[in-house]
Amino acid sequence: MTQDIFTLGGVTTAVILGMAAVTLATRLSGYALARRIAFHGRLKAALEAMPAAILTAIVTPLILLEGPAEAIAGALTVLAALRLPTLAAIAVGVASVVGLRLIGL
Amino acid sequence: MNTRQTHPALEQSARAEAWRGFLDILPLLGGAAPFAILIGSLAVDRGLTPTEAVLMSATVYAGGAQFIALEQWAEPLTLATGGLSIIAATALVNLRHVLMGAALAPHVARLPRRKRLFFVAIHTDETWAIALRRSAGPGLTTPYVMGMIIPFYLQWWLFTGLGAVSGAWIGDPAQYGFDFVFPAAFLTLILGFWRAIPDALGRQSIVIAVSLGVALAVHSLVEGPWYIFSAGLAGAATGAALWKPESGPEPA
Repeated sequence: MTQDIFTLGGVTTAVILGMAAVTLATRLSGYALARRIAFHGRLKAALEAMPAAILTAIVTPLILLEGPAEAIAGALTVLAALRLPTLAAIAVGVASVVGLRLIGL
Repeated sequence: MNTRQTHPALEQSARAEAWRGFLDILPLLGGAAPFAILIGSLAVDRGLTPTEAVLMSATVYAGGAQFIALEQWAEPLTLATGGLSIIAATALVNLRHVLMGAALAPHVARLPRRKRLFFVAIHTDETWAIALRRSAGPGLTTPYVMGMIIPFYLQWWLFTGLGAVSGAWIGDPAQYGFDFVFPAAFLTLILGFWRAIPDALGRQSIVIAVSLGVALAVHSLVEGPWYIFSAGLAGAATGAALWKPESGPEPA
């Protein structure tokens, strides 16, 4: 097996580089487009609303659709974050999800 | 955030800024590393060599897409038997970066061109979100961004390599709650955005509520990662709909 460590297969490398190319395209294209547009008024408001909307969209199924442990731990994280520093709130979330999973939720 | 100051002060504040960036990404880095190890061992499991696994993490550098690709990885792989569909799936999973890159554009406009493009080219959910939070507060500086994105990038392929060569299964990251670091951190970030914009009309709350509703609806109705893209657009549309001409100063 050890002689295989440094092997790069032709098709495998091609697929990996294809994945890299499309990923780079997604990362740069929206940025390049936004650079070309002057954002004012309503359009600017749309752009400014996106970060919170995207964050919410990414996190929604991870909290609400995984099961009771994640949902409860998510609620505890938010409550903790209202009072505690970020790191402590994350620690509360992680500790509670581990605990809740241990008791079978 | 003028970084063109006298030299000693500049150097000192640059170091402090880089360190600040590193500390801010550190919890998310700690949450991501076990998944990089998992991706490394999964890749070897699927017939990739450790070098190929590291190449994937260093060039694709997108955890969600890599998991989905490796799940679909068949051996022997040809472009027709899976290769092209893996590339298509990667594009779909990463479609959210189109919106994220657009949202990032005004916040990185003051960084030097090369470093700005470097950041945009390798932004991840984590580094994107931390940068936006910083931008909403004290502001983004080049050393802050570099102190944040370089360690995060390096850990990803270094831990992939570790997982690939050790072959030692560290176990399911979920067992120790590593999988919850990312959602928990993102919850605190949403809360931060919600607080950062003092908004008597609750526009930010409405945007978040609309995004949540659309994400849930699309997630249950449509297979795949479309819910992120749809909810991002719905949030943007909500922001536009709630805009009023008197709603704030307008830099030309």
